[in-house]
Amino acid sequence: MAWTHLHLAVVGHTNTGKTSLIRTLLRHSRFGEVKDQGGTTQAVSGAPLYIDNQPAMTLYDSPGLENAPGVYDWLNEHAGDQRHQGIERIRVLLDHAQAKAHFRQEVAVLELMIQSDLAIYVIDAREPVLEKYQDELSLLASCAKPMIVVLNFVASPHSQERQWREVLAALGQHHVVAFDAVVRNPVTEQRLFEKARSLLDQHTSTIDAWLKQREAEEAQRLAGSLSAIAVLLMDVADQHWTVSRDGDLHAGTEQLKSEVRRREEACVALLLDMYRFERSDYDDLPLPLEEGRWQQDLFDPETLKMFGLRAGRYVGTGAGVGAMFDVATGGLSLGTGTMAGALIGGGLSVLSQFGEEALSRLRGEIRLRVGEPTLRLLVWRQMSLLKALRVRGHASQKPLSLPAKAQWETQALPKGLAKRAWPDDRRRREIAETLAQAFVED
Amino acid sequence: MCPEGFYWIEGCGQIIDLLGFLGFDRDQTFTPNGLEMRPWRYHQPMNAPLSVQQWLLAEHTRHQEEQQGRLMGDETANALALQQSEAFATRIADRALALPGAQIIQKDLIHLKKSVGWLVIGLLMVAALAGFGVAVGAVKARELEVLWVLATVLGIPTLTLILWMVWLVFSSRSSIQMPLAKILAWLSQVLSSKLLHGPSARFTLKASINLLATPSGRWGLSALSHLFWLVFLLAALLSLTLQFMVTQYDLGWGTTLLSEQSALMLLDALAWLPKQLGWLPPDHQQWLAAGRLGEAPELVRSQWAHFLLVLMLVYGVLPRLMALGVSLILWRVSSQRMSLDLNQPGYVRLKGLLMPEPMPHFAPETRFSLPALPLRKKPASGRDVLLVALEHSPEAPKTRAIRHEVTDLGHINTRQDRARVLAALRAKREPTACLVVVCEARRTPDQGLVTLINQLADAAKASLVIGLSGIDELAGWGVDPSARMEDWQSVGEVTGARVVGLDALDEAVDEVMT
Repeated sequence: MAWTHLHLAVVGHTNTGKTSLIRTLLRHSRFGEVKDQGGTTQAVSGAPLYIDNQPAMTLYDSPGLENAPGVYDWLNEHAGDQRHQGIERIRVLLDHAQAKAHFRQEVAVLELMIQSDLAIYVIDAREPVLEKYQDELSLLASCAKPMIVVLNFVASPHSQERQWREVLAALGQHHVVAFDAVVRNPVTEQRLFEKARSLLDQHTSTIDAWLKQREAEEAQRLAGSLSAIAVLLMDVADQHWTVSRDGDLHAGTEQLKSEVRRREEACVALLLDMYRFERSDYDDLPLPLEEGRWQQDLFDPETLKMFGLRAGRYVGTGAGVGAMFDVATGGLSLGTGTMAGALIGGGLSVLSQFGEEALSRLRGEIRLRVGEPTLRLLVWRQMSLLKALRVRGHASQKPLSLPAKAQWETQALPKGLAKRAWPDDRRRREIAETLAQAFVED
Repeated sequence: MCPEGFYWIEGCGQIIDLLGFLGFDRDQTFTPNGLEMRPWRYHQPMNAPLSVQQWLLAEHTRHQEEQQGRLMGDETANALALQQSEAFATRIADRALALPGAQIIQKDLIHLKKSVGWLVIGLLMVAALAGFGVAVGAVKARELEVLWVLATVLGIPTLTLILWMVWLVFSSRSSIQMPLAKILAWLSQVLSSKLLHGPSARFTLKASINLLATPSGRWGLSALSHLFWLVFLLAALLSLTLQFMVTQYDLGWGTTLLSEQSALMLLDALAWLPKQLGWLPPDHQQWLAAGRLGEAPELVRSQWAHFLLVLMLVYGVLPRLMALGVSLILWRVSSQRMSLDLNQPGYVRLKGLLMPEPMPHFAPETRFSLPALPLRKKPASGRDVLLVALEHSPEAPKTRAIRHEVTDLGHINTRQDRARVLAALRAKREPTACLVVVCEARRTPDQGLVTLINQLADAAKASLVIGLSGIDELAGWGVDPSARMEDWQSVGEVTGARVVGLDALDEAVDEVMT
């Protein structure tokens, strides 16, 4: 397929988050050197965007505009007469060797503008609408290229989005997209490219193909993540540990617990990798994660309580649980109540599969496995992480809402989880589908 | 899409795709004047054909990492993979090979291969014995009904051949995860400790079982089943030949229910193919018709024995031989073109690491392209202190109490402000001691601001202090205070100013005045 190649220039005042925007568009965590310091990006550099492995667009980062008022004054002085309009004025500057040397960064930006198809002008919405920004807008408008204005940091409490929108409207800039450099929301990107499509008729097919590809990638990431959570659940639900009734029960349970913990960590790491998250980015997540681990231990009874899952609720509510008690107490020299309480409160339950259990009892063994409340907590934690990863940043930086907790408390675990006789593939798909539904409803 | 059961063709498709990918992106022609741009390398393809060995290693690593997290020390392996290959799939395989522990896995795989080899030999021996057994059982009587012997020996092999064809059509839809895989998985759990010694033997077995669901595995299994039945049939054939050599049988045809004509037609039909191949004794019509059991002359005995053996060869051995040949070829081809399912979360996670987007090149420069100035000095006769706020919001406090008397020149936010203040400074008769410029710390200083500060200080011909308001609030704005203060310090360097916070403004002015 032959696409038109689209050149996109990201321009703006020094330190407004241009590189962050590009980083987001490229899904790249290490693009450029993102530091909160002026003049970080000093050379014009481009990065290709591929559709089906064909380069379809090039995104250019640019040095910050540092002295638009100076350029503006120079133009008024040297190109002020009526013969020079719009781009002609800019050409006067670009043809002037001395001025070019003096306004190096601005000239680089203007040259980039002229050779691009579309400019994305990034504004720090926390800034007041100063005259210098209006000078910038006027300069860039002189280049006679379609432009989309991106208001960055709109999620900040200091955001002056309204004032900016008024001024922009007054200047005839109506293509405005709100963005937050820290929020990686796929919807923002989509909106940006939809605006671009409306401005660039001849590139419609390129932009459509790009959006379609992004959607497919996002879907792949989500499906992969859900599948990974499903595999985690299967692994943990199927895992059991046999302890001798005469042996050290404590050591046995600890071993099972540490294996489950490790398994959860592996899943967290996988999800973070999927969304190209680095350890330094953890602070951006509204979740209690530390070094790739959840801060609260999975098996701490307090953790269950905190997440609204009451382990005790499941005790004595069904025949299965009755059997649990039976096995747990049968022939144990430990105090019955303590024993059962310790196991169940600690997120473990005694495997009570008919037959297997009888056999174990004959052998003088008990088989432990992870209890249902803990499985629920496991699902809930991974799903929260996934949700936070999909929309990360300040906008969602508040504790996860209670209704979600309540939902996970009452909602049954995916049915496929109990279907141990199914082929792994089918069981995994079934669980992932149930999780996907919950994800949409949430 | 490829037709069912012919997944190996996918491999060929990949090669064509691969050719398309190789080629430099020539679209990167735009180069702004005087600015450096690094040309991009050609883009890397995603999938690429792998060998079975590579595939097994990659899958092993994926299963292990899904369970235990990414392996410690994978940075070296990632770097190596990036150097060694281009395609994502090949990089995954190279990474797996470079990971610590890969050697142990390879040893396990060799061990497994040997075990499978012994298993195959055992199976073939069973096949040979079964073939012998069936053949011996089929010719217990001295008077043999040819069709019946044929059905006894060829019955099960033909049925399995038909089943194989059905399986070929449906196996690509639902992988052999079905009962067979469950049994294998259970077997592997039981055997893993006995068969393999590596600490991650269970992942090796899991990957190996999943291998059976790939085209290579399917064709390999097909080849194995054909080999089994081929050995079975050859053993039966050999056994019959031997028995026909040393024992006298009466062979022929007979019927109770059918008309003689139909029985003969059936025999004639069966003889058609061997006749085309020229493997039948001559005048077959005569001795076929004369072969009615109980009536057959002794002469036709050897022709009938010959006929039975040829039928077994043509309808038993030959189809199996052909199927085996095809399966072996496809097995070999697909084993060289193994492809990974890159949608697996375990691989998607590696995309960022193994297929990093091109990194642009940045030429670091100094913050402001201006020479540093020495601190501006107070003129000997200067006395008063002037205060001006640049790009400062009117609501925010500009100063705290300054002991010295201060003349406030107001805010500069626009061209008119700038012209007004500059004119006022130039028109001033008495020399100024100190110009205090107040800026908001959170604002990123830029070239325009530096130029303006220099213009103001030049016009005032006085010492210069830059007072920063709102330093304490920087963190609240989501700004890194140390980086921002560094920016402001460099403004001080190129304007010849002292840069202080508002609380220290008084002391700074004091220092300048004395």
